[in-house]
Amino acid sequence: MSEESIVVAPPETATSPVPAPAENLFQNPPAVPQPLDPPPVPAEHEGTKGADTPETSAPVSASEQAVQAAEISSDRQPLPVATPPQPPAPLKPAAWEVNEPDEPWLPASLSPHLHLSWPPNATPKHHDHGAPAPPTGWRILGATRRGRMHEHKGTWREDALQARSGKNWSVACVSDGAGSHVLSRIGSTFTCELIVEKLAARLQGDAALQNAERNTVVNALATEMNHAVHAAAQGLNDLATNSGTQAKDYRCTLLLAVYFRSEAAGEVLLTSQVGDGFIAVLGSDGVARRLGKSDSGTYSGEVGCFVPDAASVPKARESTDAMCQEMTAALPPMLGGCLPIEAIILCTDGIEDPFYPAEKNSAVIFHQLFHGASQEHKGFEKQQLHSPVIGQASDAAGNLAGWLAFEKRGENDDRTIMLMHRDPCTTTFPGGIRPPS
Amino acid sequence: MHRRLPVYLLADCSGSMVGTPITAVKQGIGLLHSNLMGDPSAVECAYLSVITFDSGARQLAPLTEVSQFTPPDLQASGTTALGAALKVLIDCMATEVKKNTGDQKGDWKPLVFLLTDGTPTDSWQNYAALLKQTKPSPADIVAIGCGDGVDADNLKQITDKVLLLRDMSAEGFRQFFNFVTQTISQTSAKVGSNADAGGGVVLPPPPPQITIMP
Repeated sequence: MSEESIVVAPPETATSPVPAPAENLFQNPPAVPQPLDPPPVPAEHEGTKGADTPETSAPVSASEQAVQAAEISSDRQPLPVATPPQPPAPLKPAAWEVNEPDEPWLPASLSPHLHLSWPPNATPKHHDHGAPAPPTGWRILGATRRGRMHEHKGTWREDALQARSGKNWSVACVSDGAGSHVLSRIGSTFTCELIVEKLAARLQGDAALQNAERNTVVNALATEMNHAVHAAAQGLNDLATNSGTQAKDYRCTLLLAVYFRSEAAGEVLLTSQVGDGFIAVLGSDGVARRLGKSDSGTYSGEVGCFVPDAASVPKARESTDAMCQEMTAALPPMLGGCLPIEAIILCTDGIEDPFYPAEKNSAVIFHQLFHGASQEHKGFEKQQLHSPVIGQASDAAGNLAGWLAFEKRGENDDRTIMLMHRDPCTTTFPGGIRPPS
Repeated sequence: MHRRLPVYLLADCSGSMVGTPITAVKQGIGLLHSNLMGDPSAVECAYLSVITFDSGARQLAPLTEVSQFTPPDLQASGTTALGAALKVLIDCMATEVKKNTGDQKGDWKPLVFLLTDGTPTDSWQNYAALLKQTKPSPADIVAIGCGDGVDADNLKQITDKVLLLRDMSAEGFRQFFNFVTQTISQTSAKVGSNADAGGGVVLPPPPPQITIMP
């Protein structure tokens, strides 16, 4: 995908046709007609494919080798002398490999049923990042990375993200496909694309919203967000029915943020979450607060509810209401219609786990994004240093992608971060960036 | 600082295992080790421990990362103190397995493979009940009964996942240890990517020598 920011023409007056909202953050490449391999026969199985175990064949003994050689050459050459068996070489631990998937990203059996404006022959990149130019005074940047486990096994990235901005609104969506479900990459991508598409259309097209007072806007946006989640869940259920697959094959998490601003309502920020991963906001006071909570069990990685499970739609709405109340309670009152917030991040569990707990360590992430990391965070083997992302004039998205390439033992999942921040920020955080006390 | 997948191997070293069986188990653990060395995910997160039991029970090898693990020497003699083995397992897990704290995620849920060829000769039912009935379960236990002398119903009191290995030849054990390797590899590939709650360990398809008790 293009690494340049996508430039949008300035908005026109009300008498002109309404301009299209800014392009999607992630432009999946235009269709290049390619013969598709015949789709793999869908395997009905629970659980992941196991990592291939190298076959250990019994070594042929030296004396057996000698006999074989002798049988071939008995009359013509002297018998070879049997060499004594070599002691086995000390075992070396295997290194990680990077392998390409051998099945298409979109199985041919699904493409007749997947109805999106996004070209069906496109193949998302393993690592991607981007940043549309926002007219809102907020900047959105996103980066995603296929994890080492998928690289080694030669399977597709299962995290997905999408974002779009308009004159006075932004929508950002991140989703993580469940590891044990074979089509979860389709689920997460579809979820992000559909939710962003639907919300962008509503936010762009709704004239009444522009003049409504704050409470009306908050309720209307929360309702629209939930309709969009419902549409994604319904869409995946329909896809399953039409293609002879199962809805649970598409299971994925959801992290969603919607920003809106008008003279009548001031600034509004609403969020929603299903499953694990986390959302955190950085207040203008320098305090980094994690909103909501992760749905994961005692041993982690055990999510109770995914999109498109039936319970995911009410859960998404509950989370929106809960996180809205948390923000109101935790933040200082608004001044002049402005939220006392500088930045927000949506992160899949590929980031939540290494920076656990997010309640405390989202401050570390914001600090590193603002100032660049001066050294590796505790327990990390490698991090990109001295490359801030926020307040960067050039290639901020590239720096975000570099940040995402951190290395920590055992952290081999896909990872995705979506960052929305004021541009420019209203403060340089003289009191530091820190967790809640 | 990083999250480990603890794997406990409980090996019956009673007198009936003398000869081919105990040699095969020892070689099988070696095979398991070398296979896991070929799997970078297992190298990063699997930690192996060996507990043996005969007339008593002891932890022969504490939880050790794959690249530092040395397969221990095994000898067979004596009776079948399964109860003692389960108690050693419970105590080892309590000491070695790190739990979640507010500040740090603990280890992944331990995998336990219990291999036995006979009936227990000590008091074991209380420990079995503790392992099977505690919620959330402290470990994913796979019990393998080998040969004709094993009481599989006993094993069902410890875990739902009971397999039978009738053929106690070298090849039978080799297939069994490949099966254990695949289970560990599969689990270590799965940890760190979200999965459905309550799933428990997913076993790969067993080789022909192994049957799964319903």
